[in-house]
Amino acid sequence: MIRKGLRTTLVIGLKDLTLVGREPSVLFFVLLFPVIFGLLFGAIFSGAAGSGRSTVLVVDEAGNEASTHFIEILREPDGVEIENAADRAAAEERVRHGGVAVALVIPAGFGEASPIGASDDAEGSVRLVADASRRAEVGVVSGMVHGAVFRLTAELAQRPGIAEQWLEAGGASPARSSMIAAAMRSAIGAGDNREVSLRPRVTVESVHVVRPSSWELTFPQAAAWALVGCVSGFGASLTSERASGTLQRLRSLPIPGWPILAGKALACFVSAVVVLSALQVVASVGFGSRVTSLVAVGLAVAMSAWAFTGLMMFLASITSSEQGSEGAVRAVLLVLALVGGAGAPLYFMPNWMQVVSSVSPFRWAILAFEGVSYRAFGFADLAVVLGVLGLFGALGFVGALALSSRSARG
Amino acid sequence: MLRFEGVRKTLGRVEALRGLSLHVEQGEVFGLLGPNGAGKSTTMSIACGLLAPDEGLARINGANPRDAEARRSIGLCAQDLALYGKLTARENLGFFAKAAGVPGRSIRRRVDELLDLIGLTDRAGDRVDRYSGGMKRRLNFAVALVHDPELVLLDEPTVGVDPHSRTAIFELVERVRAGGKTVVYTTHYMEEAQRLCDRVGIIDHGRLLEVGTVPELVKRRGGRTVVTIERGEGNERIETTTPIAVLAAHIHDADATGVRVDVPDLESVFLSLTGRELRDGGD
Repeated sequence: MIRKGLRTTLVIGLKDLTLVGREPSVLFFVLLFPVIFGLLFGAIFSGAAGSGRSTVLVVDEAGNEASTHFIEILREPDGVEIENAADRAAAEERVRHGGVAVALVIPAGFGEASPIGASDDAEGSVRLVADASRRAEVGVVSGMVHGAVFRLTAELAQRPGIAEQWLEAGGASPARSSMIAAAMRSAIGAGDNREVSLRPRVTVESVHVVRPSSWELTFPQAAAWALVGCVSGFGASLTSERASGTLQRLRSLPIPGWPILAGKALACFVSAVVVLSALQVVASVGFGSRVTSLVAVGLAVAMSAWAFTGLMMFLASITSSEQGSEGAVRAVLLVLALVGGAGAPLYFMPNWMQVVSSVSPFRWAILAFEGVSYRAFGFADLAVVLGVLGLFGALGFVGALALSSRSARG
Repeated sequence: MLRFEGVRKTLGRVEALRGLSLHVEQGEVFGLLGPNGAGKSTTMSIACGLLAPDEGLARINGANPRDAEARRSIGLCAQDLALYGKLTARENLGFFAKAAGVPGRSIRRRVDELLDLIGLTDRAGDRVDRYSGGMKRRLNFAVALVHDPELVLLDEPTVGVDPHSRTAIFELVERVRAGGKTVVYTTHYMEEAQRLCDRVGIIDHGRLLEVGTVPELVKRRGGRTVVTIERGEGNERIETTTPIAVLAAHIHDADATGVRVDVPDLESVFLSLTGRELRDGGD
């Protein structure tokens, strides 16, 4: 029975693919539109950041007065939103996954003296972990961090003894240090005699995840629109079959019910795999988009296709009328696509919307394709994203089966 | 062949079938005659396993039509044109044959037979969306036969077709019957039931009101023949069981300007059973 069911699944799937091949409008939206999208937006899109306050993830390993004050400066009304991270690894992971553009690591020893002219990796240097795909946002935040460092340095330099310590640490004689420090304080108008113990020698090191091309940025979004095309096309065909009576006729045949839905799903899945793979080939061969490995790309393609096939089955099962179902599919897809970052990058959105976007499979599909490209996810990172996509697909199928069973009992 | 015992089915808020019982024998053409909304299509949907009864029993050769294997003996020709317009007639027949599990080696032969049966061999390679309505109806009929079922369910197969195509479908039904198949034929056209069906069931509001051959039904429920003698000053209406005798008695009636004989038919049967004319429609 299973073998017969699988054969029927294949027969129905092949029929649906034949029908797609004979429908020019479906062919256009499934195959060509995503490529056009990728080419068009790849040419004009440069990863510009949105407006509003950026969020910076802070790892305060120093935990001293200097680091606390430094964070306060950053947080001032014209500054940035601060979120705390547990450790460097967690912060880097958030950046790698696109949750924030910048993470700021304030290491132990921050604010203590180091020799003048020390390299950027000197102890106590602030480390800026940045998502290079969001260059404009990173540039703004980087400027703010540099400004905060300068202001902190200036404030501390006004305190007696501090400038002398810096200069002595840099190799100047005590007499020379006193003279230069007095001149510095005079220049910036300081007269404070408080006792302080801080020795701020701060440098900033920017660490980029990778630097993607505009094509690498837009092709994951093009993949999302390809999936929109597949889901719309096959969702419409399923409801069309229901309306025309062919689905009823299939259900009256001497076959179990599952191969009918499975055949439709197979056709949608195959189409999605073909179009996503074609997009990857265009992106890689035509525009030099990097891939971490072919296996990883294959998994991203397969799991995205699975997730959206499940979504298609669910959406097409929501309503029984052709028009109602098409409307529902379009409306839900549009909302999910926009929320998931298929239209505009997530970092254009307010923080709460970025959280909400987790419910959109588009977000995870885009992340999967970014992950196997410039974000260079490791196996563990990729497994999480693919797992979420797998869950979306499974939920879609379960929902579709439940709705179909209810309809069949009708 | 087909047996319903006290079948009840509610669709939404409408009680579509209210304890329907019927038996269809092997090899007969059974007509289910009733207005729109009478419960004909619901009966067909239950007979082919698309719907399950809320109460009662539906059996095909003793098996539950909800079981896939039991459906091997059923071919459904639904009211809708359940065809793929972008595929050719040959592709449609081939697809449904494969989906129904017809062995691959015999599909081509079966498809050729059916194309010949419905007279579409010459147009077999054309896409169905380029066919006329009548051609689509014939193809729709043929798809129901593709896996050679014992029982063919025809749900209003002549809806919206021209007279020529209607005649072609009648001929198809007669050829299917000649091939030994059992046919259940729903219609709200009295003349179709009279022409094609060995037995007819009158259905209304989800209940089977009467079953029998057309002569039996007419005899039981049709009333008497009405002979109307038309005269200038007014018509004379005579109800009789011997209309020939009445005509003979009036053959030398000099005042008569004309005569009309209304023989009872299924329309009068339906009228006597429901108080409504069949063409009034249903609910």
